[in-house]
Order: sequence, then structure tokens, then C-alpha cells
Amino acid sequence: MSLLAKFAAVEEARRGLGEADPTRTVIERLESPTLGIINGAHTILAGTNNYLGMTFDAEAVEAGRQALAQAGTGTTGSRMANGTYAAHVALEAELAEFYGYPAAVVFSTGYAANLGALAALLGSGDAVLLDADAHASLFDGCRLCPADLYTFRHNDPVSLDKRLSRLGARARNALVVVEGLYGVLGDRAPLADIAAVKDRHGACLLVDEAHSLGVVGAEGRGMVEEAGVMDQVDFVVGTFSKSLGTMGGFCVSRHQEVALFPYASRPYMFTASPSPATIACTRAALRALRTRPELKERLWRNANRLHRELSLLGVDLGDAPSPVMPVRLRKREDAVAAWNGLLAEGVYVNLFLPPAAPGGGSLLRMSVSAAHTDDQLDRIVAALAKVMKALGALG
Amino acid sequence: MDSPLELELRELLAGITPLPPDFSSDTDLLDALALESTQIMEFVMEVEDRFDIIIDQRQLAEVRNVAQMAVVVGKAVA
Ligand SMILES: Cc1ncc(COP(=O)(O)O)c(C=O)c1O
Repeated sequence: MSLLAKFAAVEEARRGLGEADPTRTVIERLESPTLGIINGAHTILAGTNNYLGMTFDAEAVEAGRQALAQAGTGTTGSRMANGTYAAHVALEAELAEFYGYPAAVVFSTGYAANLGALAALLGSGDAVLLDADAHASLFDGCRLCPADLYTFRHNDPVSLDKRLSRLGARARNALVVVEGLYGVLGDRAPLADIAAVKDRHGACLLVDEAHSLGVVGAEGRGMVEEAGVMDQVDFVVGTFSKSLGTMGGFCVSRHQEVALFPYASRPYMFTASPSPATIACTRAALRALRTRPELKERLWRNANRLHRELSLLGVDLGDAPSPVMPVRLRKREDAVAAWNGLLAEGVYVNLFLPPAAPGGGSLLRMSVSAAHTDDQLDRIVAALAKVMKALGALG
Repeated sequence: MDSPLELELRELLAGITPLPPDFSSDTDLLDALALESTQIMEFVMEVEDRFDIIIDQRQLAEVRNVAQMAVVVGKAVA
């Protein structure tokens, strides 16, 4: 059974996390997008990706209920075979229209969208230049492809420029891959500069807007809109699992060829399509994102408030307010202790231990939701103040 | 004996993680130094910028130590 021997080390590492292992958190019941029962206690959810608080949106829930009754529980098949319903096609048209691009493709998850778009784009002899802090799904997608893979320094257009120069004529066959708003530190890609560099070299640019759809940009179209590069960026990928509160992913592009991705993309072909209810909820959530700007306003009001109050306390946060809010801790043990302390105070956040967090440190990732109430924000601040003070971690 | 190239790579590596006294060009970066994947990536980007080259990650699949890294870099600068 030597194949299984490696799990002894996994089990040991897991035990090292202590009694309350963050990877085994069970949310026993949900009361709202921002309140759950964990270990039998009411707990404020401050570590989700529920930026707009859409998971209990009345219209989305009703749309899902109707689709479930009318179209059944699942599609039982690939988008390429029996798994494309009228609603999948309608959602693709709505996404394309939202971005003002000719076409969009819907995938089963955001992870599959990244794998699927990269698999379609990157052939043998091509090159891909990936931001060093990019999400695991982007690394996995690149590794799936026969193209040569290079990384450049996080958010550094000069580092990218140098590497494209070193590629010489091959730069015209290169794809630059970045996130819009980064999902762990909440920092923003300098997209205008990155787009200028890739244009100078004749390369293409793909931006993963997983954490920025509905969160930034005047119309909620993410960092590509905020940075004014919608006519320069070549491919936008995104997920339904965060701001839209459902599941699934998409790729949308100003290039008509995106409509042919399905024919060149195993992660599109060899998995079942999102269920009818999932698609119906997603369409309702996308409508809400477009017609209810107050959701984004509320999200930013909450993010700005939390950032201001925690900074005043001396908590070491990222520089600029963002709905993705990292709390840095000096030591791994401090981060584990803070995570457990916050849970005991009724606040759930995400724990990142090396090497999961960029820069190699340990951190707690808090995420803000439009659905957080003022009272919940007060209690998050109070819990952090108490826990961080006990650790001597206030600056 | 370490080649000048190996010594230079070693110096770059030392900027990323402390090297033990018995470190040599044959020391396994993953087993003995326990380098994280993010540190390997950092090392590669440092090397690329020092030598003004670009190194495909797949070329690194077989690289376990500084001596093997020197071979990859040697080819790229040639
Ligand atoms: C940047 C980024 N891209 C892609 C994904 C994958 O999305 P999904 O969870 O919907 O598969 C995530 C989330 O995990 C992410 O943070």
C-alpha cells in the first residue's frame, strides 16, 4: 500500500492545525448570506465570496425554483451533446451583450472556464506569460497546454515587457494572463499599462475577473471596465460563483473566435453543463447586478467602513480598501490562533498559510458583502480588536 | 568545484532562502532545502533577469539542484 503512504504526511500536517481544523469547517445551517450556524453557534460569515449578497436574492431563488420545476434537476450531459438548453444559450447572449462583445461561452465552473479558455487558446509553439500571483486554476490551465510557460513578477508591467522582448518574434504568439482584482490580497492589476505592453509586442491578454465582476467598473464589468481597456483586452474570464452567488463560469471576447472555443476545449466538452436551476439563478443575478447599482454601492460602503475602522485599530491590512481584505500576521501560529479566536467570537474568515498566500506569509482573508449589516460590521471589528490585541498583533 | 555560473546561481538562491553550510551544487532544492513552489518561481525570475533570458517552466521539470539549473541557464545564454 505504498501508494497510500504519502497520506501519513498529509494527516500529520492536518493535525498540526490543531483541534479546530479550518479545512473541516462545516456550516450547519444558513440564516442569510452573511449569517450561518457553525459548531452550533450563530456565526457572521466574513470569509465568503458573496460580494453582492446574492445567494438568497428573492428573484434569483424564485427563478431557480421555477426552472427546477420546469426543466428538472440536471442536464445529465455535456454542453456539446444533450447539455445545451435554451437557457444556456440565452445566458451566453446576455453576457456578450453585457460586455458589448460578439460572443460568450458558458462553462460548468470558473475553474473549468480558465482551463477551457487556456486549452482552446494555447497550442504547441505558443507562449503564455502568467502573473506570478495568479490563481491556481490559471496555473493548472497553463500546465494543461503544450505552450511554453513563463511567469512574470506580480503586477509588474516592466517585468512582463522584458520577458516579451526576450521572446522576440514569438511574442506575437504569446498570451498574457492576469487577474483583475486579485482574490487573496485584493490588489488591482495595472491593466492599462499591461495592455499597452502587450499591444506593443503584438501579444494577447486574458483577464480573470473572478473577484471583480459586479465589484468594480461603472457597470460592474470588472477591472477591464474600470481601467478603460475593454477595447484592448482580448479575453475576459469570470465565474458565477462569487458576485452572482451561483456556480459556473464564462469566457467573453471581442474576438468572434471565442464562439469556436467549445470545439477546442476538453474542459468544456467532458463535463456536464450547469443545471437549469443554476442557469436560471445566474441570469436573475446578472439582471440584478445590471439593474441594482445599490448592491455595488453598499458593498463599497461596507468595505470602506471596515477598512477605515480596522486601520484605526492598527490591524495590518492591504493598502487600499477592497472587498477582499487580507489581515497579515507575523507567524503561522498567530494566524491559526487568530482564526480560531475569531470563530470563538462568532466570526468566520478564511485562513491562508504558506505557501498559499502570495509573498509566503500567513494571513486571514476577510471578504466583505453588500449583505453585511451595520451591526455585523460592528461585531466583526470588535472581534478582530479583541483577538488581535490578545495576540499582540495590533500596530 | 563549482563553476562561476553555479556560484552566481547559488548567490541568487541565497537571496531567497538561507543556505546551509554544507550546501553544494548537488543539494536537492526540494528535498533538502524544502523550497516551496513559489520560491522556485521567484528563483527562476531572478535568474531570468540576471542573465537576460527566459526559461520555460517545463524545462525545469527535471531540475533538482543548482548544477542542473546551470545547464539550463548555460543553454539559454549560449
Ligand atoms: C481568480 C480565480 N479564478 C477562478 C476561480 C475559480 O472559480 P470557481 O470557484 O467558480 O470554479 C477562483 C475561485 O476559486 C478564483 O479566485
